[in-house]
Amino acid sequence: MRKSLFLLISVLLSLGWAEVPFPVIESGKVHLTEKNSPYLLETSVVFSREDTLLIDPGVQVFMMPYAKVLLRGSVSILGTLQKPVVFKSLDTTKSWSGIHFVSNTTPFLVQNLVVENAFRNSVTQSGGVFESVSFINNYYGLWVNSSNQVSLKKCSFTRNRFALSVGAGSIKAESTQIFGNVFGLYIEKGGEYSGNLQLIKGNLEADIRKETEELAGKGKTVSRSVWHRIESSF
Amino acid sequence: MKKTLLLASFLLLACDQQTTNLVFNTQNIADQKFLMQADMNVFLDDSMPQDTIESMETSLRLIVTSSLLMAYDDSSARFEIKVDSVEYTSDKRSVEEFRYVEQYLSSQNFQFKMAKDGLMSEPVMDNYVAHPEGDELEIAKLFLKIQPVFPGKPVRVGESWERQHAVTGENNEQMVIYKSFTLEDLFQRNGVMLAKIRMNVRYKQMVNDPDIQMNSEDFVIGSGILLFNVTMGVIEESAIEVNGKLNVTEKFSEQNIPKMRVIQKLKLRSLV
Repeated sequence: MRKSLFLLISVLLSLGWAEVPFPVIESGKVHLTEKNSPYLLETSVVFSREDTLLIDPGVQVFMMPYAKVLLRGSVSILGTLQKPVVFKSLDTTKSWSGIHFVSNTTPFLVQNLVVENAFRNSVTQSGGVFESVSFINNYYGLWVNSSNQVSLKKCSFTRNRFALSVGAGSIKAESTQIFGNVFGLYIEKGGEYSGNLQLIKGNLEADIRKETEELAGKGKTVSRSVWHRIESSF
Repeated sequence: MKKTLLLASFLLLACDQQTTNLVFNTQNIADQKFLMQADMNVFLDDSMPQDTIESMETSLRLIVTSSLLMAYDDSSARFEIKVDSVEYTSDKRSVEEFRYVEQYLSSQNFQFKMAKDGLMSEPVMDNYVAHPEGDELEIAKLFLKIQPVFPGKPVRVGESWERQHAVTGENNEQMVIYKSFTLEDLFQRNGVMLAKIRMNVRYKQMVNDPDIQMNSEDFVIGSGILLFNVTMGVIEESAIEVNGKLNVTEKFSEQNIPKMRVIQKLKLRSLV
């Protein structure tokens, strides 16, 4: 009798904690709520320009290896200090492919988000605000490219391999700390970073690197991104 | 008279032995494993001393399984390529990036329709979402480059033919790959008939995205040899070397990079 009761309680507990599959996009919208959290994304999801992603405070999304979130439409991730939104891998020994903003029609708004264990998170040809967002233990914490209207407010980057990379375009940062990473800020050729550089410190290999200076120091002209584009397009 | 008839019969037979109909088996082929190797060497094409030249070397080795999914009445078929294993290296990436490239390539299974002459169409990747930067490698592109297209009629040894592939690029631009072939030899090996075919390709490389513009001044050209198993209707092995000069402009800095020379070696070998 006791055994049956224990089994029943175990099953109920496991059911109560089971992750809900990341919802299919219906009528152009996905709304993630704390009530249904945690969610599990098994493969990848693409939001088109017409789609909207809205995430409430306290939502957790677990990612399977290689899962990727590609956001081309309207994005509002509205965590709070008390109830941040969390994106991280289900198996912490394996990375996922990251969250990618390509919403060039509507500025994104991301507040109180924690992004962990991704290979690369990126913003491409987009604008928007990251406020109180923590990038933790990613390979590339955030990579911003071809974007001129990206703001970082009170964000933090810790334990990433490459914390923040700025490709062609610019970033405005306020009270954003980059510390305890392997490499801090990397400004690629054509990139600009406007913010308090005193808050970029305590990174293992380097706090700030500039590709233009590195290339000039080696007498080279071709940037890393050009090599990669040749490789991928040929 | 008898001698003349005998000679004529012999010549006819010899001629038949030197003529074949090259067609892919699109109806009942079993799963096949292939090894694909793609090595790329890119360097600034200028007159700098060899030891100071900027360059990139990459190497990709894949084992894939090709499966016939559906055979159609018009003799075409839908195939699927599944990636079994990937090994990748590059002197322009870190070891962690190698592993990441291997991860995403291993999930790049794709399907395509193929006519019995080898013309591929409707390539579709299964559950794969490409990165918006456009800097991810694509396995399907390599297969398309090395894929032969046959003339659709019997050919004699020494005969040549030309075919072309229209390919939709990353930004929906149309690129045409012109391919020409010559049947160089027909011979028996281990009880199967093999055709040795010379393959030449040429195409214009074009990339125009918000960051970069890249185009080949002249045609990118390639040449190689294909061994086709005529008995089974499958590729036995194939090797091609593609060579081109690229003009590259970084748009944000309006910087024209000195011409780049790209050499790509592709090898495909059946593992059955």
